[in-house]
Amino acid sequence: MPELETATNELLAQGFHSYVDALAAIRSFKSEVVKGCRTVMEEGLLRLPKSLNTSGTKNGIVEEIDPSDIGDFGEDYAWIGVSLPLVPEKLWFSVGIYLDQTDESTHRVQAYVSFFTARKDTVRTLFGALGELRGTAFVLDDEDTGVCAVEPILSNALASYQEALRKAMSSWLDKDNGKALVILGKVINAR
Amino acid sequence: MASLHDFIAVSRRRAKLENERLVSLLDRSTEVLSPLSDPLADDFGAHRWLQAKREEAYSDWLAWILFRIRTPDRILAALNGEVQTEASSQQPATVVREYWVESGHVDRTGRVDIHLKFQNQAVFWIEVKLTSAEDADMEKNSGYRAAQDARPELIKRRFTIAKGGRQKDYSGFEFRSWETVCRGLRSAALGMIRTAESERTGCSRHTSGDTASVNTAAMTLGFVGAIEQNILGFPASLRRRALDGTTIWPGAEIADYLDSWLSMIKETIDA
Repeated sequence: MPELETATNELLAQGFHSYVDALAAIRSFKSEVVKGCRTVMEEGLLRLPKSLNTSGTKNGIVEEIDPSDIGDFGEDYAWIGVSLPLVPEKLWFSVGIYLDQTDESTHRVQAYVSFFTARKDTVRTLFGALGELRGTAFVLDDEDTGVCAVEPILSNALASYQEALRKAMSSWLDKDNGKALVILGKVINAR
Repeated sequence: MASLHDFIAVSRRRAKLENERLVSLLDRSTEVLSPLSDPLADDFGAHRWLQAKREEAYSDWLAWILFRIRTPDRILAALNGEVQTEASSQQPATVVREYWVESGHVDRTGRVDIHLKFQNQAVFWIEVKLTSAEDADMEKNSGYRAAQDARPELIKRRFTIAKGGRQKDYSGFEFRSWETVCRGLRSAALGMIRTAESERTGCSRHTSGDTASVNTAAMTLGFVGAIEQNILGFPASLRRRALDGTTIWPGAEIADYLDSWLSMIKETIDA
């Protein structure tokens, strides 16, 4: 398998040359995106209605990275964002970017603003209660633990990812005078 | 492969462009901390006592600094990463390192890293971790909490200081990141410098036994520098490196960190 041997040698040569730089570039990129997500979350946090009875403050915001360790990378996606517990053990707020690369030609970047709960039935109730509001703006997350407002980020507008995040945030805060958050508050407070 | 090289190249270029902002913030910080200077301008990794991750050394030094900060309000401000309050008539802390408590890990006694007691009014316990909270032993916290709950003081607080953490609370110990604490200690040092200056020029409004001095401020900033460089991983001799045009990969993060501290103390500086 001379071809494989050549490819392996090239991988090693390129890897030894660029590995540290690549890690540094990834760290810089991740840090910048986390900062942008944090800003949008802080803006949103100020506008959450009192009816949610949240105890989360901006000091509680933590970064949320998946995969968090390079050794965990095994699928063709990555998540960079921030999260905040809003109601202890009950409700979490999440803002982040989902990078999806199922093959070399498919590259999708999306902005997510989500609320996660501890119980799947709560999330399903919330999703159902959103009714017509859902439209195309809201989706259930893959594990049925969160309801997410999603906005695509076009490949020619990647630098303005924060605008997409704000648009997703607006689906919760502004659509129909913030009806989605009123419904969220009712569902959470009833549990 | 071309896109990876582009990614690295643009990242390196941006990091170098951050150098200018970094130097400006370091200079501003040094101006504020005069007659001392910003600890990131120095190299604390060269100090053998602190360069390794020796938790005891850091705990000893932090305990001494908190003792010098003296009062509960000011100690809380430091732990919360906030600007120091003015000197008050509150009683100073009694500080004990490796304080024995009757419960830690299940069925075992324990030793809390730092015990701060304010007469019979309040008690603070601090656990010092040089890793992230998730990588540290937190199992004994429940035992410590039970031991503190049984104490007679009216005010009881518990803190875990770690490099990072995903929770606000670890079995009853409030999480504080080293970044937060370092911001608070920077502010504490600034308060000491300002108080010492006021006392020197006879303008002090508070001379009621406050032991702040420039020497204590220097020791506090030394601790901050050691944490920032050896635990948080900020490069040493930062200003020189930035001026040399070295690529400082975490430069943007460090600049944001300095910027947030300088913004926080703006009112103090303006006053």
